[in-house]
Amino acid sequence: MADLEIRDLRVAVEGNEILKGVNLAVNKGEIHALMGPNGSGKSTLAYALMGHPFYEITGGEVWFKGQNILELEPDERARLGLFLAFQYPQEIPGVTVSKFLRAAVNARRQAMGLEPYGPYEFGLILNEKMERLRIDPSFAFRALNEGFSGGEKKRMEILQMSLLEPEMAVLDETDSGLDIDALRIVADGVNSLVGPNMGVLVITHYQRLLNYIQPHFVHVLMDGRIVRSGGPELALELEARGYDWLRAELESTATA
Amino acid sequence: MAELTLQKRAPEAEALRALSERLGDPDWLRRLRRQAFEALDGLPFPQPRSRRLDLDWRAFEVLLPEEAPRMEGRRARLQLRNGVPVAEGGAELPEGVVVLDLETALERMPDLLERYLHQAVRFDTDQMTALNAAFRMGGVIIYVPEGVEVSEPIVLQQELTESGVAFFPYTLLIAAPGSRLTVIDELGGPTLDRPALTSGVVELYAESGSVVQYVAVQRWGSHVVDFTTRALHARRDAAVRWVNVSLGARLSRAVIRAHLLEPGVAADLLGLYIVDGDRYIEHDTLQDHIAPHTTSDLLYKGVLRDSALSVYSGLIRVHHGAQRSNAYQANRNLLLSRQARADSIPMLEIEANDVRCTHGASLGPVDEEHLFYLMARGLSRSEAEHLIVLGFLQEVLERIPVERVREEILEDLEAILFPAG
Repeated sequence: MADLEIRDLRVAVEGNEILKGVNLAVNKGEIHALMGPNGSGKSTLAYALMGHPFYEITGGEVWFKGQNILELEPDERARLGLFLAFQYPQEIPGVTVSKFLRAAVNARRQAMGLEPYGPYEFGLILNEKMERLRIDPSFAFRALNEGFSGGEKKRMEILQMSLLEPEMAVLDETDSGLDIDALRIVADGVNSLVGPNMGVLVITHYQRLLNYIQPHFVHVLMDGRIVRSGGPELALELEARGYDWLRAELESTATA
Repeated sequence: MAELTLQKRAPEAEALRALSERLGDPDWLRRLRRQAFEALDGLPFPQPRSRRLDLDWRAFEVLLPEEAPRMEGRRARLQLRNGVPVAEGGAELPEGVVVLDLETALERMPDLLERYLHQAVRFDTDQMTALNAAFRMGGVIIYVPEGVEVSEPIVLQQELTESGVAFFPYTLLIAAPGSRLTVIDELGGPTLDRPALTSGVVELYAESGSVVQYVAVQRWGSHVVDFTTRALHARRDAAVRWVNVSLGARLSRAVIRAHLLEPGVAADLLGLYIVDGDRYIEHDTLQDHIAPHTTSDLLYKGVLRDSALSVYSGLIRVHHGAQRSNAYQANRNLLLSRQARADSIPMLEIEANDVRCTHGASLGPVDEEHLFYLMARGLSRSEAEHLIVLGFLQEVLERIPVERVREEILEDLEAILFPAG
């Protein structure tokens, strides 16, 4: 079994089935890209993996570290080592970045049987990670994402990922709203974390991000199903030709 | 410290005479008490807006002291129990600054008291203020002379440890022109078996150019029905930060009035309340812009759980001629259960045409998207809710001047909102 294994996952939103049986396997050390046109269900998959209550699981299983995580609360999934970088990170008034991050990191550490960090020790670690992602140290004392620019929010997501050291990370449209410099910083951040201990599922509409984060596998999601999987060349082909040819091809196979 | 004996009496004319006798009231105060007592029946009872209260003040006894010890009045901390001064301590105050119980102050500075007492809060406002004026024992005066700066925060602790009684805390703060001070006024006591009634009065006089920070923290036991009337008279260029924190009592109705009497006054009016069970809290605020070029900025925030109920009613009144005034008002409520309720009633009375006024109110549960975001980082639902609640209150908390006070409020907040954790 793969480290993350999605089996026949079906998800509905307000009674409409969005994911109609998704199968996907991601191992640690691998980078997978999930591409697809708007409305194909990419973000639904991301939220469903993390356990957002708005998304109703109507069938299937998601196996991670020996458990069907669909039975777990979002926080339990996170403490197990699953991470979602949000497309739209929430702004939370009055909750400072440092306070929140220490609580989150310590929750994960305790789940791993490690000692929680004290404020001083954590401050040092936070500073170092922020420097690496070129985040101004003053952000530690600002309210979480409140008044942050799009790029700052995305960097904050990657900062969280680097602190939480997940085993499986899902990046949901992390490239959206980023200029080229911010994109490079975010991609560098992700690349520095990728290794034998982490698998990544990069969800993106465009090939652009994949110039910076190079996937081993590319999957195309359409109408709630993965319709094609391949190597990095598939992304380039989609970039060059769009999605319509694939749709046309699928339809001709279906009628044949 | 010797344990003081107290007597309890029915609130009748006889008790009033005995009280004046034992406290050695001057004639004008005896007259005032009697006037207030005689006015009682003709005055309205300040009925809470959304919870009908059948309360007869005659059902409660009043406290009489056997003998009240005398205080020096030179220290930054003064503690009163059941209206009797029991201890003073803390830092030595600058020359001329006085922190005293009223009885001692009446011997030492009767003229000053006669000039200020019940000017900002008239004794005949309603039954509760009249009861306070008639049967008050103890109470505190803080006086800072002209130009004097008190760097150490002044801390008052007014405690109630008796049940079945009506109790009347009182705070008089006089900041002479150009003076500066910070006062923490803590009112509280244990929860007891029989009901008690508190009727408090606070009068704040911020004279020209004074800088005053006044924080009241109410932690009455849950047997207490609490009424309080607090008023500010602020004169030219005074800068006032006034925070009302309400954590206790079964039912509490607070009237908060800021009168901006002369140009240049800036008043920062903050409130924080935490209510659980079926407790009830009501705030009735007035931002009274009498002079031009005055600013008031009001923010009251509350968190309610269980079937708690909050009523906020706030009036901004800008008088004719109070041009170039700014008045802001916001009441925000976070509801942690479906049964909790918060009503906001904003009101404007604007008689001037060149003013800026805004008001807003909001209520709602913890945002599910916020919760999910924090949970997706590994925080349990209750930890996430916890952080969000603290974050919500942060805007008020961070403007409370003394670290220790902030921390103690946080502890109370934990105990009320997250008792299991």
